[in-house]
Amino acid sequence: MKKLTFLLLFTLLPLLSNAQSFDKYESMKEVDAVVITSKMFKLLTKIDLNADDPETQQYIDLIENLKEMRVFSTKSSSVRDQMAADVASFLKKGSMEELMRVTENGKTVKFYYKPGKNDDFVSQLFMFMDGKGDEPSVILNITGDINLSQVSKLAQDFNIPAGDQLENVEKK
Amino acid sequence: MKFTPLILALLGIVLNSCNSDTSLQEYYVQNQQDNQFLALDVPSSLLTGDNSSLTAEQKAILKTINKVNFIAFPLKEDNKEVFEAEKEKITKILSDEKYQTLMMFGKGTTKGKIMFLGEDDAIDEFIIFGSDEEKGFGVARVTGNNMKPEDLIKLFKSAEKGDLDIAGLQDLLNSKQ
Repeated sequence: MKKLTFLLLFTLLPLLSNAQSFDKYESMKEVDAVVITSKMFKLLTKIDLNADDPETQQYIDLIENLKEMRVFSTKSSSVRDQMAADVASFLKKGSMEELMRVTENGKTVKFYYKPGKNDDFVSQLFMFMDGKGDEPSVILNITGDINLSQVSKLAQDFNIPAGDQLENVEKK
Repeated sequence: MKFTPLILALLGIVLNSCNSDTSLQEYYVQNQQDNQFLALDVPSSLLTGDNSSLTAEQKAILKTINKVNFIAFPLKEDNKEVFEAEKEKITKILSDEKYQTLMMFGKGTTKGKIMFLGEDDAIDEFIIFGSDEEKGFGVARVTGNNMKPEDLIKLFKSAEKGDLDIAGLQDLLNSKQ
């Protein structure tokens, strides 16, 4: 019985720590945080959007299948360092694959993903922007059934810090 | 067999009243007389008063609402400790799994959370919680029966634009000042 408990604990532990590794930023006063749940996304599709043209329909499909979006941004240098360290250890676990990286004006933006149901879709999209000075450091994590060709439109609708970086996302 | 739904409904009521956790409603009742709190209770009859010039759609939406209530704890120089204790209490109440989170945000010392109770397309309670380390915290609740969340949001949006002319609410706000 004990063995089983331990086995369960060890199989569950990585899952839990994986999901919660960035939770602490929610309550930090140096961090601006936004968390949007799937319920909210479903609601949004009912309010603002008309499914008249196929392009909007694609966008609705994207939003409806999002599970959660988390954005944390900060300009505090100590929290920046902490974020960079946490992101590094999160990526070290090897569950995410690199999608692309963009370097411009001294800041680096990295995109990672977890594969989804086919080549166009990913089940998780993770972005980290390592900012300096006036540029915030931003962690963006989206889970769900994400169509990469549609994801840049999210930046227009939600006021995401560094959301313009999503425009760079192309098919892998 | 005709009675089965009735029995189930009664059972539901009984089970509900046995719930030992403090609910938001209880929290409200416990504290509304307390001088440190600011409480406001608006029955829906006030919202749909005759002298309000509402569109038919807005009226229909307001009819699904039973009441709106609001309780706030303004932070002053001498009540910091009580503030922390009360904030912890309310955070604990709201962390119950039955409250489903729509979204949360935080900017500096200000935090906000929007939640609901009930089914996705028929909600019983809509809750907005906000707190600020310098100003205090507040909870607004909209309770009703089978409210459609998208309708409520539409209503909030028109209220924001100033399109929502609720005479009763204006009077109430003026009297509080």
